[in-house]
Amino acid sequence: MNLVKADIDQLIQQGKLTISPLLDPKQVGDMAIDFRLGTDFLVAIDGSNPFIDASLNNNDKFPIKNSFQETRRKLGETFLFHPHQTVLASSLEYVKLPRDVYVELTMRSSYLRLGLSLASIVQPGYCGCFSIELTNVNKIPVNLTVGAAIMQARLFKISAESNYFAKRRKYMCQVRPLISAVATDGDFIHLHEIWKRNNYHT
Amino acid sequence: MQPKLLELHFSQLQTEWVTSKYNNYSDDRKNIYHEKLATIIEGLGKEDFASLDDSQIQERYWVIFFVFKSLEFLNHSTRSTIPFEMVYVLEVALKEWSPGDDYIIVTSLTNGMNEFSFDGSLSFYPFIYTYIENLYSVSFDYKLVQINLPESTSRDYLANVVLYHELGHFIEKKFAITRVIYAELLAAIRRADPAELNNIYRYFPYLRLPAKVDEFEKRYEEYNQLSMHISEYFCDLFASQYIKDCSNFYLEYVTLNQAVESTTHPSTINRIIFINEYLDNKGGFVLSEYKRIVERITGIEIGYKGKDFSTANFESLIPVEVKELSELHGLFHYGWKVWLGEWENIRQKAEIQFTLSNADVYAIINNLIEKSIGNFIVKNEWELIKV
Repeated sequence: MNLVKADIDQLIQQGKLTISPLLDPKQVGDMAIDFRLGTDFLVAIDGSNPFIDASLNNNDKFPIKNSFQETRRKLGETFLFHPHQTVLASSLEYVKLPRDVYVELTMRSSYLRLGLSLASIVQPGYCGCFSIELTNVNKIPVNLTVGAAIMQARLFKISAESNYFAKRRKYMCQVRPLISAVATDGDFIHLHEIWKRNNYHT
Repeated sequence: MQPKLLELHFSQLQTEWVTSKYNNYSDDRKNIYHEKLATIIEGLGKEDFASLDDSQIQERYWVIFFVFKSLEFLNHSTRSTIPFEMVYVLEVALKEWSPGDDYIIVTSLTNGMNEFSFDGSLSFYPFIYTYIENLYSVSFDYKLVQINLPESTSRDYLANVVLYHELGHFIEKKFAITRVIYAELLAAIRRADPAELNNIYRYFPYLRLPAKVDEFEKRYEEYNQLSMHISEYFCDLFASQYIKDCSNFYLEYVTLNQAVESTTHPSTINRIIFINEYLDNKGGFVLSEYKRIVERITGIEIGYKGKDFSTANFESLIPVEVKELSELHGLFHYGWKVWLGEWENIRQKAEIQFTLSNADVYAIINNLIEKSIGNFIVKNEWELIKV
């Protein structure tokens, strides 16, 4: 069930949904909440690594962090987003979701028209700033303003509650973008062992 | 100094300026300061160092030193590097003791672990400002308060409580507090009141030695043992007005609760006793002298400047909604309380079903302190503009 303004306002008043800071109550729209661009960025760079390694097979040689550079801006300042660049950013707002509500996060229409895309799902019970992975598919750079409402979240109620912290989470209470922890995926150990068995004879 | 050596020094500065001149700041005061550095460099570039005499060369040496030192800190205080949440709370404290808008806190991020320090070279060398004004007609409306902190912990708010102590060094120097306490303690030793002596010896045990007292009476130097110890105690006291006993925890693990004083610092044990006695409203002659003298010099009473708040937000994994400036300081105390407390509270409140590691709790606390400060800054800036 897609939550509407009255539902969202009620969740906020009951303390079941935290959005901090909510600079303008008008961010809560009829069927979605506008979220703002945060202050911290991780920008993909051409570093010394030949590639970003989403495997354990070479992971010790090519740490993912070498392919990203951290930078910050303050509210009202701008961030120049180059064509085909991948940028990790966060929402300005820190969010704690109810245990039975998940979020679908997309760019606002005005920003989609500039060539920026985002599609993300946030699980029930999540807490932290939303992590956003942006790509500029336009041919020209786009200058984004920190604090601008660039994305919208539609909230959906599910039939049963779930506990986000029933298992260990890679990202807890994050307030700025973090480097991908892809290498800690449980499957990777399994897949790495298969690769070792097939490639190394002891 | 040969002119050629000065030319070498200036060439180094020009090389540095090739990149520094493009610095972007999030603070117009820094932009103004930066433009003045550009004017000085332009002025230096027009001079023929070979035609200068020794004293003129020496003046330029200090001017170049000033520009270099400014850039050392400004380069790490740009909009993309500055730990602005921490700087913001320090500026709140600074404004209480130095209400004019004539100082800017700047940071230099160091490589060394635990390399927290205050550098007063740009705040307290008035002769350099005179040289600059005379030679290049440049006067500075703002001076830099230079604070070094390790890059690796620049967003570690539990460790960064120490920066309140470092800010204390600036306040202590600005008001020349140490010099007065120094004189008053030596005068008390001459009075030889047993209760006063007993209390002085507790914090400065080496003053039991008459030769040491003689040495200190003959000459006050900023860098002698007694003056440095007096200064350290003041900075601890200054910090505890904002963060209570938090810096004690940091001190304990950095110094392993050192029982013996060094030439620069009193023993950690004595420093912690001093602060605890202040916080417990105990303390004897030495503490009351600090309070009396500080108030006399600055007009400000030593006392808790933060505001306590009751919350369990961090345990619920959400930031604190800070309502006023004085509550910002309380975030550090709250963060330390959570760190030293039972993490089971977090697990229960947030219904976490796995074992929280040290690294988990460390990240949670630091993130939530940073976000609590950041939200306060953002809300303030948003509400200041009425559209």
